[in-house]
Amino acid sequence: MSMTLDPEPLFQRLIDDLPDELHAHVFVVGSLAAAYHFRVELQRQGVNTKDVDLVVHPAGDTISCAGMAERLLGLGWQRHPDCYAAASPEPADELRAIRLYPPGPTDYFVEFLNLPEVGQREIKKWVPVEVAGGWYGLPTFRFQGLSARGRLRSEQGLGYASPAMMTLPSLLSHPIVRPERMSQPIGGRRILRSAKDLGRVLAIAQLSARDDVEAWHDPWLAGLKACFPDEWRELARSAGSGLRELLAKEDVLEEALHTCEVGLLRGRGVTLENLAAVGEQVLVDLIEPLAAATAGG
Amino acid sequence: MVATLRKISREDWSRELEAAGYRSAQGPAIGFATEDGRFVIEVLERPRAAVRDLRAVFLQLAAVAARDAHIERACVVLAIDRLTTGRMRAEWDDLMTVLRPEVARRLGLVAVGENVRLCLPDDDARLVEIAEIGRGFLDESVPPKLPRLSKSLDVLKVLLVRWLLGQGPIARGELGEQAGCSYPTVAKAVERFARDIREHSNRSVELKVFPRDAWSELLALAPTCRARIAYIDRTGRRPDPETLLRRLKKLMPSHVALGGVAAAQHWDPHFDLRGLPRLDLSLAAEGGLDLGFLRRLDPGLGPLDGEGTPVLLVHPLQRPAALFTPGDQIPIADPVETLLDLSELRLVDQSNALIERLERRAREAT
Repeated sequence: MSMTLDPEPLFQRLIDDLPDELHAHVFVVGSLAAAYHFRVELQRQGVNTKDVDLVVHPAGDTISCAGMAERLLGLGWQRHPDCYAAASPEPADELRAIRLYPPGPTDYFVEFLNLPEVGQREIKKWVPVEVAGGWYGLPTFRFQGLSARGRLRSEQGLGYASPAMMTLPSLLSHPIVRPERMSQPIGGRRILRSAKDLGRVLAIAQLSARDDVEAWHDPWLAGLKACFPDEWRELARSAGSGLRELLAKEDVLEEALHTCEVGLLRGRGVTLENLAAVGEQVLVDLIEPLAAATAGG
Repeated sequence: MVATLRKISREDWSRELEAAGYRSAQGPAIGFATEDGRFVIEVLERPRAAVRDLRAVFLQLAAVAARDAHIERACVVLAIDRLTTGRMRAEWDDLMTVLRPEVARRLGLVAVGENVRLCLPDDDARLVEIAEIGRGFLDESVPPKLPRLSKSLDVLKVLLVRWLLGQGPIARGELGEQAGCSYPTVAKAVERFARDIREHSNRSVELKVFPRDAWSELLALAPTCRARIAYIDRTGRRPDPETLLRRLKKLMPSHVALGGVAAAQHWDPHFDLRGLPRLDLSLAAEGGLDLGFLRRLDPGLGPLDGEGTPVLLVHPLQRPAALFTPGDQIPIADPVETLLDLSELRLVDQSNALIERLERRAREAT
């Protein structure tokens, strides 16, 4: 069951619940980070999730991650029912993610995400990590490293991914609209994962001023060159292909709208036409210049 | 389904493909290519004999692909204006059977039209990308049916512009050329507005006063007879004409001039309105209606369908002389178009004040 949480107090609770020494090693991504960033535009409307995605950095620091989890468990944090240990690190794909409830009210839980090592080819990879004698998995997304660049800091002092660097990994992760659907229903419907992730890109763009969206170009390009020095041209050229497909398929766009209506754009009366128009702006203002930039040095 | 759209020019494709990272190519049968030359495109521009031309281009591209193993995809793009998508697919299937498989699998087709998009093969993201680029300006290139003022009022407008700018008399022949009408039509207009017109011995003409009655007639007819295309912001964000203006200044389309409040502020630095309620543009359209710049200006704009508040109004000028004045970065629409824009915006006091100021300036000039 999902519920809405006010992003501002939730960031404060995270600061209070997480030990001070961990603050510098995590940052928030996903819908909570977006809802916090746009809290003024959203008039502090709650975010429809219990899940706080915490990226542990630096990249590949699984020991630090295990230590963090053990530290939290030692402070009375509780495992989510989905979070249970395996006896061995293989098969990695069957390991459970580390999901922990804070002590006290269980209205949210944190899930640890990992940053990829340079050269990871898989879109998503499970990295085994041993916590308190059992094995768990750290979901490690190929393009997550981009979200670590240009992080912003909340008023409470916790880092979170910037809108620019939240959107680029989603675009790159979906060069086509894939047929996989979310395992859990969103607003009563099992949605295409591509529609959910690309829908969030459109929601973030819709909440931003057009000039601000256009300004994502430079950090996108710099991030691609830094994180993917051998592949950045190819990635830049393909960054918009999934979005184009989404915009061309009204049924998929409708699924994206559904996730937006349940999520970030809840109650704002945003229509299919609005999302399509924002998507076309993203293509002209960002995707095409990004592709054009590959022609230079 | 048959789409009936006018052609997309090679220049349209060139502008948009280059913006998307393609470059113009020099090779035979190749119009554009990616930087690495692995993806090449030929534009089939307004095919005369659609099936024959399509086959010819395909065979040329097949020859190019057969010669150069480096090419991963050689595709032809065209606007669908005569062929049905079914017919085009059938042509494609026929060609695939006659070509060598190692060549056939590297060919591609993109056809775009109103509510039509055909990409063959349909799983190549680049083809989809090109189709979307094409559709972007196709949608904007649908020529709307534009109303038109009577020729005599077009003549009057040219005379009024000259009077407000203190430009003096104009020869009848030149007046006809600027207004886009014949000598007899100019003569009829001069006769019709004789009360307000001064004729000179060399048969040149000019207004002698501000033509109040004719101006009232123009204002009365403008809502129904003045050409306009209204656009709304489709993004759901607050409409922002100031941002549109800033972007227009970067684009600098040569056939577009600022009208409305922005132009009024040019004609009268004391113009009594701050801010921009909407962006009004005059567009030189005698040679055709080119709205291609709108995609770059804001692809989130859409035509106003029914009631609503537009963020952008484009006023196509169908007369040969656009009568634009050089502006700071982009040209300024003539004062008559500007006044008509203000009238549409119901800025009556500001419009009257601008007329008075321009009248005074015109009198001082004579």
